[in-house]
Amino acid sequence: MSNNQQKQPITPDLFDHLVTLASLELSQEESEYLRQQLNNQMKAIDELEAIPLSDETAITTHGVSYTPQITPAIRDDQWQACPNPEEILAQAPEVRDGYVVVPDIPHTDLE
Amino acid sequence: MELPDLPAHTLAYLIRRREISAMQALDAALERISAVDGRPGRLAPVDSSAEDAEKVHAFITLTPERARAQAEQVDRKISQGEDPGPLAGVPFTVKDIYCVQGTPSTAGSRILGNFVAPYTATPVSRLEAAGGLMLGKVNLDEFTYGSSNESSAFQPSPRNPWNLERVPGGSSGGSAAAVAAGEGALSLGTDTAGSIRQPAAFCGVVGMKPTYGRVSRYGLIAFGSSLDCPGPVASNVTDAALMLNVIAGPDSHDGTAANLAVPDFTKDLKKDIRGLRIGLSPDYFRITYIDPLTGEFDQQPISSEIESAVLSAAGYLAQMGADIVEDIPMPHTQYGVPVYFVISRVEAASNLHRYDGVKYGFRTPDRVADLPELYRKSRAEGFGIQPKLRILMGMYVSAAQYSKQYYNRALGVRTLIRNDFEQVFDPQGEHRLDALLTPTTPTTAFPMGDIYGDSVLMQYADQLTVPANHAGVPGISLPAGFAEDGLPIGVQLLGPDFSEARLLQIGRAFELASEGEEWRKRRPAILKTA
Repeated sequence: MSNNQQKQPITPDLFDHLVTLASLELSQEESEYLRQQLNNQMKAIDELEAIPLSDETAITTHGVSYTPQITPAIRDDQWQACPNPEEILAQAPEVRDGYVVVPDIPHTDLE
Repeated sequence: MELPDLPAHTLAYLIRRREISAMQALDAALERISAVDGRPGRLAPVDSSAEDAEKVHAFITLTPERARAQAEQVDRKISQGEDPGPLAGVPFTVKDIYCVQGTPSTAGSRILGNFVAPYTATPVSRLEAAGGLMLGKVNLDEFTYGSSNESSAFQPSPRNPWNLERVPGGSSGGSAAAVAAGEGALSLGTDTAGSIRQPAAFCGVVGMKPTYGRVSRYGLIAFGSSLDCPGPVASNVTDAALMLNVIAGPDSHDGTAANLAVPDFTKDLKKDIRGLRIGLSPDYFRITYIDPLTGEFDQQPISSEIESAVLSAAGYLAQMGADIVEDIPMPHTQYGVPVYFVISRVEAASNLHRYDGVKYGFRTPDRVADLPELYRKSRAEGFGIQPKLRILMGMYVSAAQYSKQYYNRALGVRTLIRNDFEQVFDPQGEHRLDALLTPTTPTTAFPMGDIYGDSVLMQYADQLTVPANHAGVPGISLPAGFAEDGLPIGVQLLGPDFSEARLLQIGRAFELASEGEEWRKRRPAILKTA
């Protein structure tokens, strides 16, 4: 059992950094709620630390093992025309001459 | 019995025999929807009216014209002596997490509120090719992130047909509510942590999460790509088997759809279950949760009514000849939710990066200076609070400096959860189980508004269902009676990889054994007043 109710791993600074990485903007009210919920969830996640896990325990990325017998063959890498490009472009918020329009893309010179 | 209350297999049989037409089945379903469903979910803010509180609100989008064209085709095929397909004329609904060409495909989110899918998900194509009539798209938690449907951006959110003040569960809450209220005999749901089985239990219907890879995910708007499973919601086991027959199988569009022949899942439904070994595990009769006040972990037994329902189901299965094996150890069950808090968030954050206001979906109407500001504003205004929470957690636990501590560790514990199942199902092992019998949920459907907002408590509603998602194994929730508050109780069967036929066989045996029970005759409250 964890005894870490005072521990808040996600500090306001770290939270702001995550918000930037996630390309989000949050109101004060949303930020307070979300940071609290994240820290509450971390209490549950911290429970995992107490589980003995040997170095030999393999990780599982999919529950079901994909044996060669059930793994589908990969399709040939062949170019195929999209049957309905206009339907796909019609989903874009702004299109001009078949291109998707976006605002300025800032450029940064690499050092 | 009215047409909308007939099982799908009976309806298809009557339609094939020309006793009724597909068009009649469709008209009856549309009439039922108009009687019980109320206004569909909308993005605009709604002032809940007294009338809203008396309706189910399963739908976001109705597609009657699409269904009518399908019904005409089925009736024409029948009149010309052609095979109309195994689901001929059966009305069904689709959780709005699937792309269906030409329909709004919203994921219950503002960020996809204006998205009209340019292609159709494989399981939906297969249902239509089998003669099914798609009535429309049903509501869900936003991007499937929830267990109550209250987080949908499309309000009013669905209500439980057995008690309209209770949630239908989630995230396939629209699917389960629609089937319970006779608004379509079948529904296509998805299950990432219990999202088919939990609402099925709450709404008194059958819901199956097939083995990961049994059903193609092509066209399913992704949440947790290593966990998501499309599956059937139906009013009975035979219908779930019939639907799984149609939607299962390899798909060249999904590299994780297992290359495995699909058996006829209806074939063994009448086979007796004598000698099958069905386990009961004490680890599924208690829940571990965090005390919201102290932050301490606590354990509690599940409600005694739900425990009795499971034991009663075990009694029926024993009467049918199954061997009930007690005290099966599943020691890592309690870690299912903490592991899920990590894995599903990492996968969700990764999957949600594509929504940026550029290619499709919502774009902020505000004037912006540059592209990064367009991303930030579109995502801030387009996503609700639950996706934001998952993105932020996913970013945190997968960050380079924390991923070993959290993400890799969670994937290791996932192996332990998988090992629990492998050991008890091992045909040469100590327990040699054919299936585990457990409660589906720790409680019955909770009141609307009671838990929403507390993301930890909400997640613990999935504690008994999520281990199967980590392990990839199949599970089915079956109606098994009612609690004293009049709400349905579900029991769950879990089995080894690709053992759906066996689970359905056991499920059907339970239905037959308990068919004389008084509770089998009860009807949802909404159908008494409609």
